[in-house]
Amino acid sequence: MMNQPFDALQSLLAAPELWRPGALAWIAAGWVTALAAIAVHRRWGSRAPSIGREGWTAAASSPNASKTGAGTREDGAAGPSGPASSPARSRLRCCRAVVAATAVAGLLALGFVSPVGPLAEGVLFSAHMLQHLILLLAIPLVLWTLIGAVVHAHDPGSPRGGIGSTAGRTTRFEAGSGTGCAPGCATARRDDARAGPARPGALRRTLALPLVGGVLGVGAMWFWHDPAACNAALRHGAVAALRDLSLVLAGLAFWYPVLVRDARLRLAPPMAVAYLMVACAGCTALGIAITFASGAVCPAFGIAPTPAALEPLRAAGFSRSVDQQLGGLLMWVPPCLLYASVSLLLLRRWYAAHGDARPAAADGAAQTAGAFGRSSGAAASAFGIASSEIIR
Amino acid sequence: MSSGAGSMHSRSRGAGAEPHARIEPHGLALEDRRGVLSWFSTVDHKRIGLLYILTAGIFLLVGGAEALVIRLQLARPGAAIVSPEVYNQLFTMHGTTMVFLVGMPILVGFANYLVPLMIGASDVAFPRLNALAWWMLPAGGILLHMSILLGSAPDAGWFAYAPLSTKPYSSLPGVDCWIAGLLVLGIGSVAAAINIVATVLCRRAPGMSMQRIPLFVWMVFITAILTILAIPALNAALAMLFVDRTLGAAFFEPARGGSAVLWQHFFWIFGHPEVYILALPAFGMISEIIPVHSRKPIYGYEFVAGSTVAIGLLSFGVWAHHMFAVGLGSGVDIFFAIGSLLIAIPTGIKIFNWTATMWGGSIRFTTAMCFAVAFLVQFVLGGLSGVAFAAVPLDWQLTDTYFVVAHFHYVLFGGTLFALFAAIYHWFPKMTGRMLDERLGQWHFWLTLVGFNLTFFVQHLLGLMGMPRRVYTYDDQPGWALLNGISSAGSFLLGFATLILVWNVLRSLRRGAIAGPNPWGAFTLEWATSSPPPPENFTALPPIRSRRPAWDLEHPERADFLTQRTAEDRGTRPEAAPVAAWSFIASEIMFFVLLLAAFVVFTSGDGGAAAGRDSLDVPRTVLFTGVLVASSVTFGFALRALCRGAGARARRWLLATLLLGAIFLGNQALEWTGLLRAGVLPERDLFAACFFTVTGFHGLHVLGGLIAIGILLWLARGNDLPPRRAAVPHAVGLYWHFVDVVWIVVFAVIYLGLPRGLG
Repeated sequence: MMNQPFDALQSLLAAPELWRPGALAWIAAGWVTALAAIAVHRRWGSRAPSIGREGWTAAASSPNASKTGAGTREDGAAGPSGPASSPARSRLRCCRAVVAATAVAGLLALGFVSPVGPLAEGVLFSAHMLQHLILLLAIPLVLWTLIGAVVHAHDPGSPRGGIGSTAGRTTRFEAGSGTGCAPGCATARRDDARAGPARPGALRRTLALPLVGGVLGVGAMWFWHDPAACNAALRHGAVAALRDLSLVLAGLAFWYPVLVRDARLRLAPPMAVAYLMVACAGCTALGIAITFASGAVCPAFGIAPTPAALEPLRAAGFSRSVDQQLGGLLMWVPPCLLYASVSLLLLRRWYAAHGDARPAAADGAAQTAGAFGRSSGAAASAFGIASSEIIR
Repeated sequence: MSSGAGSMHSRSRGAGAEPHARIEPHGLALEDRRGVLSWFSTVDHKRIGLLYILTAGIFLLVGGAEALVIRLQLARPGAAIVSPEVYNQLFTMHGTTMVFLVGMPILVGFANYLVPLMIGASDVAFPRLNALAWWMLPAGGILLHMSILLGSAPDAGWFAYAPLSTKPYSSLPGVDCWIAGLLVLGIGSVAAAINIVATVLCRRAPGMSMQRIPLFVWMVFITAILTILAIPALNAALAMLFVDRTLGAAFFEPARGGSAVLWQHFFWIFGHPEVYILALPAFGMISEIIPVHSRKPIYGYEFVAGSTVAIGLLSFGVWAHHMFAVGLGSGVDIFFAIGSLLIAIPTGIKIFNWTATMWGGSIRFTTAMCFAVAFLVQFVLGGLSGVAFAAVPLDWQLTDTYFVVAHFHYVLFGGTLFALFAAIYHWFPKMTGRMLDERLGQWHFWLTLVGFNLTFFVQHLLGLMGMPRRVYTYDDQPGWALLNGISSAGSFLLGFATLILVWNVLRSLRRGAIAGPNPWGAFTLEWATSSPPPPENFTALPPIRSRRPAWDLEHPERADFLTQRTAEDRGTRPEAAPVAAWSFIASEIMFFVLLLAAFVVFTSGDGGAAAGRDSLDVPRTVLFTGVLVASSVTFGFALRALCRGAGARARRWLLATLLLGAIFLGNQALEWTGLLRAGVLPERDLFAACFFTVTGFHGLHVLGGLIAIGILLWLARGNDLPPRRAAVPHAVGLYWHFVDVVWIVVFAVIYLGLPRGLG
């Protein structure tokens, strides 16, 4: 009796009709293509600047870029962070791309080849929700972190805003300004902070607005759980494809302000934590609504016939309402845990960033950057003090 | 010796400060007045902090006395010292007092006193708001205790579960007083929290980057954010209960379609973060005290700070572990159990950090340090029993027994209160200029330690034996009389020990040894000024180049910044007014989201409550929604005119905003009277109750916005704003736009019935 649900789950996973080897072939083909593209890029790609690198490359050649040479990257991958054309960097990028392609292929296989795929099509609401999480959170995160826009704690240029600019207007001690005119109009400073060599394009600047990413990321979740949209996606394959694509794109937009490589576009860590917290509130609200809803959120899930392999699970008490509850909780808890984990990572980087927070004109930071550039994170530096600084 | 501050400072405050050295940016002259009356009008954060601590101390004695009567009643089986009714009132008042009138205010008091000193500021961001927040405390306390004069103290438990707290089951005014008192206290807490957030963000001294603030400041900052987001959940629940009790609605009465479980959800959405609101500042105190008395820097500053953020995030996602016994379904239980277990990780990280800080240190076992070490042990015990409760089957077995009582007293007494005692011994010299007597302190510590563990450890056993909490007496089961006797004896030992502290404080105020600026060799900025600090806090600030500026000052050859680099200060500080406006808006969003969530809950499902929507006039409301949105546009024009220095034009636009807002309110009043005439009353059905509650509170917010705009008009009467008020219009604008956005959401949810289908 005790193991009944687990046995039922086992028999569900073992059911051959719920696996899709055909889809696996597609994903494998996609994976091979991606690897081929990477190989091609590696062979010839270093000649032409790749898309989305201009901002970083330009910034790296700015005068205060010397700091980055001394710094180890804080993202866990070893290796020097020189200009984009260096061989070591290229190899690293390639290696990351392989990992990313493999991870994305694996996630897609989990979402569409394993029983999750067939069950998400009108049978189990929770399986459908798992698919959402993969498309909206996991795949975009993998793409951004591994190939697109890795965060560098020692990136040149200061992160925009900073905790100081909560409301966009700040007082600077040196300038003694901020009390002249009504500060609501002092918007020029923010643009100053972002201005520099090769100012990012309008699209990238728009995407970097937290409101855009937040509304797209959280809005996609909300929109596709409107009963009408949810039902339509189940009835028409085209709408389903549109939904899946839109979820990936919304996910990419959502993570952009947090993970974009160009430090001038990236949210400062405390702001990024606040951004993720708001997103957590957004999916919590939806999660609560679905978990505690009394009726069916997506009625079309009641229509499809139950596959035979699912019967034991249903018999073990996994009714439609429990299924919907589980779906709501999946929408609610795992994203928030992911946001919390990313927040902690961001805070670690925030504390590890030593000299770069100064305005570019500051000279003191550059002098001492070498000494502490090698700090490998909070634990090591804290241990260093503890062992060397015991009083008496 | 106590005036040695002047010699220690090496850098003046910054250019331009000299001519107005004693006039603060907020425009209040610093006061140095004496006498009892000056305490009533004070806006000095140090005095307000002391007032908080003093008020909370008085309530601590009241709440402690209530606990002693409870223990006296339970000392032996079948005692009849108090009647069952009085017993219910006693434990309700004890819980409410200790949480709202002792725990929160005393922590806010320490934060008030220490945060500006620790970040090198001369005062909090909003001194007058600070004074107001303190005045709400005695006001709330009086409202709460007024119930005794009205016939009955509240007796529905500190979480006032519905339907027990609704009119049919608690007809006496006790619960009404409880609601009113808690609303006042809650608003005061949010005001204090907004002030702390603005102070930490906006008033840090040059050099004090966010990565360098002392851990106490960091934890108080996170606590303030938690307070801002958690209290509105309680306020929403209280408002609904108040509407239930006074206007006859049935939000929480299942017999008339309401939901008693909804009260539990709302209460614990507040209640669980509240645990961390009470615990995090205590963690912060421990993080300051243990390093100083171990004579070592804190081990892993970043981990302690980061884990605090994790606790803050997780604390909002685990409230339902208080409701395992309600029957939410096993799926929900499992997720909340996992979330609750996860919180043990960041909390455990802190314990390890504190232990590692002591490791290899040159520890001085002062009374403060003794309390801090006892905190560590007892908090671990309380935390472990808490993790045990995350296991649903164990929770089902032990819920509502004395095991729960033992658990949360180990967290809140063995944890928070021990940290507070440590803080009193640690910072008393700074606050008064005199040391507390160490010999009396040791007596206080050991008696408290023994008394506390005698009182509460045996309650674990009683709980495991099945003794229910909140029952005025018990049967003479084997062992129960003995264990309860031990518990009661221990509680009186505790009471006696607390009197020793009171005596120690009174005696040391007059005869304590003179402390000097830094008696402990401590590290943070508050020790780099005289004890007690002058009204302006610092005559001149030392340079801030690391996390331990006072250490750097006294040991220049071994200064932190020589060996360890921390993020430099970028020198930017946000304006305080928009920060406060955003914080307030965040709080208000929580409030309205919960009110609207209640509406969605009641109108979804069987759909009975949704029928009331027919009585609303949607087209007319569309029109007046447009009026309200237009007022946002006119406000935007007013701001633009102000920016361009066109004062007269700005005032005209402000006047237009005022008029449009008034038109909207007038229409709301007409709609209300029409509905009331048609017999649509809150007591008719849940739709009407929700409608009047939500639109009523929104109307109040519009009214508040109109008053703010009126004040703005008055401020700008000379066609121009004084420079130091320059951020105010922007802050008011944020609030006004927020009120409009809320209305659009209210309109969509209540009038149009969106989101569809969540039923």
